[in-house]
Amino acid sequence: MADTTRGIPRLGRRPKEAEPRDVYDNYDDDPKTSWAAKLDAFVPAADVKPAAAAATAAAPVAEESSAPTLSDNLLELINFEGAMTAALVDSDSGMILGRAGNGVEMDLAAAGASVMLKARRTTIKTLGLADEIDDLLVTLTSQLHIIRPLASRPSIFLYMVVDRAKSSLAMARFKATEADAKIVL
Amino acid sequence: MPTVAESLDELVTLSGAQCAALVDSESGMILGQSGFNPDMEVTAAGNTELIRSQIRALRSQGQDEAIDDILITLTNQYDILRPLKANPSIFLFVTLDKAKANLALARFRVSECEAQLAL
Repeated sequence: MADTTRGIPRLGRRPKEAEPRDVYDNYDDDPKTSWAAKLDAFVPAADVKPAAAAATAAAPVAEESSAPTLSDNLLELINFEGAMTAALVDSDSGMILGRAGNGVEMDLAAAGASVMLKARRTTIKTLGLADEIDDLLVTLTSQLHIIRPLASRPSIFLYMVVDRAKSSLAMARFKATEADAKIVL
Repeated sequence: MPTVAESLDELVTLSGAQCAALVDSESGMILGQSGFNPDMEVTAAGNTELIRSQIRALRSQGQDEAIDDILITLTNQYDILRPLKANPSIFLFVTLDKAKANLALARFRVSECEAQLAL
C-alpha cells in the first residue's frame, strides 16, 4: 500500500535488509530443493546407528515439549534391525507428510501405495461392506512394504520399508501397529 | 500335478477360507474360482487394480523387485494375493475370515499351492 500512494510501484527495489537472511540464506537455490536438502540434513543417513540418531534428534526437542513429534515417531519406528524407511503419506493426494531413513524412492512408492489403497477402498465401497483397511503388506524379492492407514485418521497412512533378509513380516507389522498408536499429528 | 480347480478347492478347505480364485491381472478376468463369493467379479477387478498399481510403482522406481505376495487386513477379513512365479500377470487370490483363519498358515499354503499350480 505504501508503494501505490507514492505513485508508480517500484518493482524489485525493496530494501534488502527487510528479508530474514537467516532463513533464506541462499537465493540461488530452487526453494524446493533447498527445503528437501534441509529435510535430508535433518534426517540422519542410513549408515548412522539408528539408536544413536534417535537419541541426538530427540534431545533438543525434549526441552520444548514432552509430547513426541512426527519426526521422533518416524525415527523411533525405523529404530530396529532391518528397517530402511518410514514415511507418513496422505492417501488423498499421495504426498509425503514426513519421512525418515532412505534407500527407496519414497515419492514414487508413496504415490503407488495411495493408488493401491484407493483401489481397495473402491472395492469395499462397491461391495457395500463396512470393513476398514487395517493394513496392506507387500512382500517383494528383497523388501517388505507395510502400508497402514492410521486408526485415528484413515486418510493418512504409514509406509514402512524393511529389508527382508534382516527382519520378518511379523516383526515389521508389529512395529507398524505400535507406531500407529503413538503417532501424533 | 493338481489342476487349477483342484488347487483352488484345496485352498478353500483352509480354516476360515471363504473363497479362492485365479485372476488374470491384464484383463481382470477370473480364470477359475472356488468357494462362495457372490461378488467375485468386483473383488477380482479391484484386486487387479491393486496389483497393477504396485507393479507400476516398482517399474517407475526402476527397482529390480518382483511381488512375492500382498496381504490385506480388513476389519473382518484377510485377503492374500500371490502372483504366479511362472506367470506374474496371473495371481492367486484367497479371502479368509479374520476370526477363524491363521494368516501365517494360510500364507504358507497359498505359496505351496502357487508353486504346484499348473495352468
